[in-house]
Amino acid sequence: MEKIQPNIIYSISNAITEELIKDEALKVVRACFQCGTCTGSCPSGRRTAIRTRQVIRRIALGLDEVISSDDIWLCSTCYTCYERCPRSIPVTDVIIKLRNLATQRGFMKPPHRAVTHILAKTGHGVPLGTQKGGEDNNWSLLRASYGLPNIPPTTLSHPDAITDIQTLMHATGFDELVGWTPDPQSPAAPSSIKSQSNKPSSLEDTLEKKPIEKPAEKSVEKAAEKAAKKSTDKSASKKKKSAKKTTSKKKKSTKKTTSKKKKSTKKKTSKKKSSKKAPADTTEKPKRAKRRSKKN
Amino acid sequence: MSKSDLSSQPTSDSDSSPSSDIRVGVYLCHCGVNIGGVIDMTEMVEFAKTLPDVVIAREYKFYCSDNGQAEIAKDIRNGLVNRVVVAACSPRMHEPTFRRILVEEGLNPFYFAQANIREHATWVNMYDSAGAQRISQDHLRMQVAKVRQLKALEPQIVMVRPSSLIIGAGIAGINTALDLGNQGFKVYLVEKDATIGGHMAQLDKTFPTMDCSSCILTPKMVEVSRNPNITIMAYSEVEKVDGYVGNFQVQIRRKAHYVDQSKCTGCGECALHCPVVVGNEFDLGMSHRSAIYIPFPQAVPGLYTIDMDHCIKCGICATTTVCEPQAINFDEVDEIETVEVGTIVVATGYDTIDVSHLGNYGYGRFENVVTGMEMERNLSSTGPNLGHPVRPSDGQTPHSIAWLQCVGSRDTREGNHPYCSRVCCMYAIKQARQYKEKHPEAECYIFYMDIRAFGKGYEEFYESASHEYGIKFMRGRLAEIQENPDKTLLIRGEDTFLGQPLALNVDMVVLSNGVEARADAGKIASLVTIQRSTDGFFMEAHPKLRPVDSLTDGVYIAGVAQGPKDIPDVVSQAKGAASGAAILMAKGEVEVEPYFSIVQTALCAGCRSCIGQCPFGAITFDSVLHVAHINPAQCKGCGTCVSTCPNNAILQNHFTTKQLMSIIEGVLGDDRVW
Repeated sequence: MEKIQPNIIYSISNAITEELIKDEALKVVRACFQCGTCTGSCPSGRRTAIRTRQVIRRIALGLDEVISSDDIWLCSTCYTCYERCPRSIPVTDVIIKLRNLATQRGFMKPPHRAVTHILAKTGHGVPLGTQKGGEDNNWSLLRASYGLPNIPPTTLSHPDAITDIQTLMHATGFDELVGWTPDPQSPAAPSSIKSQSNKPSSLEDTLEKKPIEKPAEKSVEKAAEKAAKKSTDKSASKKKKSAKKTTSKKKKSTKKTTSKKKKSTKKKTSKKKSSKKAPADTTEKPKRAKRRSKKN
Repeated sequence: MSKSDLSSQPTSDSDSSPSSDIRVGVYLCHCGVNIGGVIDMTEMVEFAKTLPDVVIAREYKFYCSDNGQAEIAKDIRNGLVNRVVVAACSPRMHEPTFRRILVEEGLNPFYFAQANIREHATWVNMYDSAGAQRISQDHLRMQVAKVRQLKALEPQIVMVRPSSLIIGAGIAGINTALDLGNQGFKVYLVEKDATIGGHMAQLDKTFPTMDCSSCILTPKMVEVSRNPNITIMAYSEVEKVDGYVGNFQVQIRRKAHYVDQSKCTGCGECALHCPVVVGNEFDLGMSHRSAIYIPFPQAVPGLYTIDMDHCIKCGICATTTVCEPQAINFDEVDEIETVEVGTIVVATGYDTIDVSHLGNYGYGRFENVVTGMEMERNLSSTGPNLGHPVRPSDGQTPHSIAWLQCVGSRDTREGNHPYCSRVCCMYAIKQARQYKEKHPEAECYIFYMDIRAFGKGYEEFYESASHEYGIKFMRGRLAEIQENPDKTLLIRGEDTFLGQPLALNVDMVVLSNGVEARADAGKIASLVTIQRSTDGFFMEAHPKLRPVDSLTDGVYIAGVAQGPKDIPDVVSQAKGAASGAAILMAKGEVEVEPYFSIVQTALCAGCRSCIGQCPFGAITFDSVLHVAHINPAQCKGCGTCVSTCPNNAILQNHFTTKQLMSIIEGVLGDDRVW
């Protein structure tokens, strides 16, 4: 039964498309004539579910659901489609931009989120193995053989810089976006963040102390997806209402979602007020609520 | 040649100050909502009335309509106005309309100016009424300032010779030649190849009727050769075109055949004895010919030519035992022949798009990837395989063939051919059908993006291809072709209907490549001074209403040289071009606008700077008077010489310095000093 999903396009929102084509170079995405060269060229598509043509179709049509789909994350950015597109659409650039837009809205895969957490902690997206103190690892020996210092001039040599990275992440709101909060015990954590995160809040505290792991992230992911679904449902209901052409059955269901939606928005806003700094799995909720309330 | 009396033309700028008897009528056209919907016309009328010498300002919904024209005519008839300014659309469309009113009411037609406030103001500033209003006022001010300075001019009449030059003898050129020749006009049909017939001679069958192409073409070729009014100049190229509408002098290079065309009987004995073997261009190199050859058996003229690039000059063909009439002449040289014609029709046809640069399709690398034209020759009973297509790699009959549509065409990335070539869909379906007729058990796939079956009977043809013949239509452009070790091909793409990537093994792939402008189209364009559109094809004077005229008077365009089209469209256009040329020649004379430039001999210092600048070769040097002289019939009124002349000795009718300066003063406003 799970497989049965509503497959009718109820509304075309254009929000993501409009955001995307602010970049003049990507505007040509609207010229796609759906020839399928991209999908046919896609080495990822031969093994995974990505259908590049359909990603582009959703954008050309203005379906916001594209950013919540898995497809945009299955692209290996090999640029084959980009080179072959007969309408000169920079397909890969479009997908990369879509990933940016998706991330800004809280849609990202757990591994991506985990990488940002590693970055925040270590200053490296892919940290170097430092079990042996960074002195006689294979990589450090290799470096030495080229006459380079054993330890690269990154955060490994300058642990203080991790604080800078975290400050930057905080200043840009990136930490909130990816749901990262510094470990209060860590000496590297910036003092300002530390003091904030030390605010007493039983639920948040427990979550905070939890190591960043899959289940927590999954819930974030789900929440984000849910929210997105709701938002699309909501806009659908709005349009339908104005058109006044829906059957009674449909009306019922849309009303339901709307009322649900309102409730959840309220909840989130109140939550936001209560705590400025939210832990991992609730981070984007206040943000999303803010965005939505602006819209309303 | 009845030419206007040049002495009646203004020869000086000095006496052109507006006299007191100038009464300008301004007519503001709403053009429906195009102008009236953007700017305030009542305010425009009030503004117009404030301009100098304006006695009447009116507005109306459509001044190009009969009622609108009548209103202007009435004002002229009643003596209220003697200069007319219409603020409306571009003068390109309706200037002749309004000038005719002036002529009918006994006013000189050049006392008219048109302010283009539609294209220049309201269309481009649709959402800025105030801005559009301001721009419209500027345009109006300029045209009123200009009309006050305009001089009466007499249109020029030039004679038109009753003869025509047709460049290119494909199906377009042949039809034009026949239509003109049958009307009694002399026709010179110039063809660069050794035979007339063009691409159509290479085709096997024509869609959708499946007529044998050469069976319907060769009778026309013979008809052309038999028509006493038509001179076929095969193996010749146009070198130079001089002159102007009605009086073109054309130099034609008649390339050396090395075979005396008056002696050759076309018996073919020489070709049998020639030891040289080269690829035959007619079969795209898939069959062979000798160095002395005719391109194909039904060639017209069916006389032999020696290909000097490959001839080894062994002299076997020249012996009397081989060539009895002794037609072989190795010493022949190119000859230049000059003909005088009244009109020119350009029907130079097309090249097929070279697809070897499309690396992912592997044409040129993979033996079993062929082009549409190669398949066409393979399917032809006169082709290299006598109508039984085989895999080039091993000569076996292919069991599965895939046609790829839009190869080269509709592609902005590779080679930049954004347009649709219009014939590939139908020829691929036709070829697939032909193959299915011969091998019903074979699998035929057509990979397409859109099937454009737009002509009469085409959609039915397409329907029966899948319905009756079982050809599989696959929607999706192929991504790439890979060669298997046994030389069969693995094709990859997407079935966009199923949304699934697909990989299929086929024996052979046909790339349905499109058409593009001839590689030498630029040369032809500059020879006859016609323009090319962005796609490289020759540009028509108006895409809708003047599709066979060029912007150069007396030069017409026919066939694919103007843009991709199929045979019925080519024939229609050829007939249209013939009709256009015949109108000029039947009338025998043509009126040309007197916008030519005049040298004021008293001011000319004889420096000759203008002579080299003239793009039309209209200026000559009078060595007796030591001044430049402009031939009014050759002058196109571009004004280059006017701006070149260091002495300001050249005046251009209708665009005198005084008139142009008054326009500039007009736009800057009365209160501006510059």
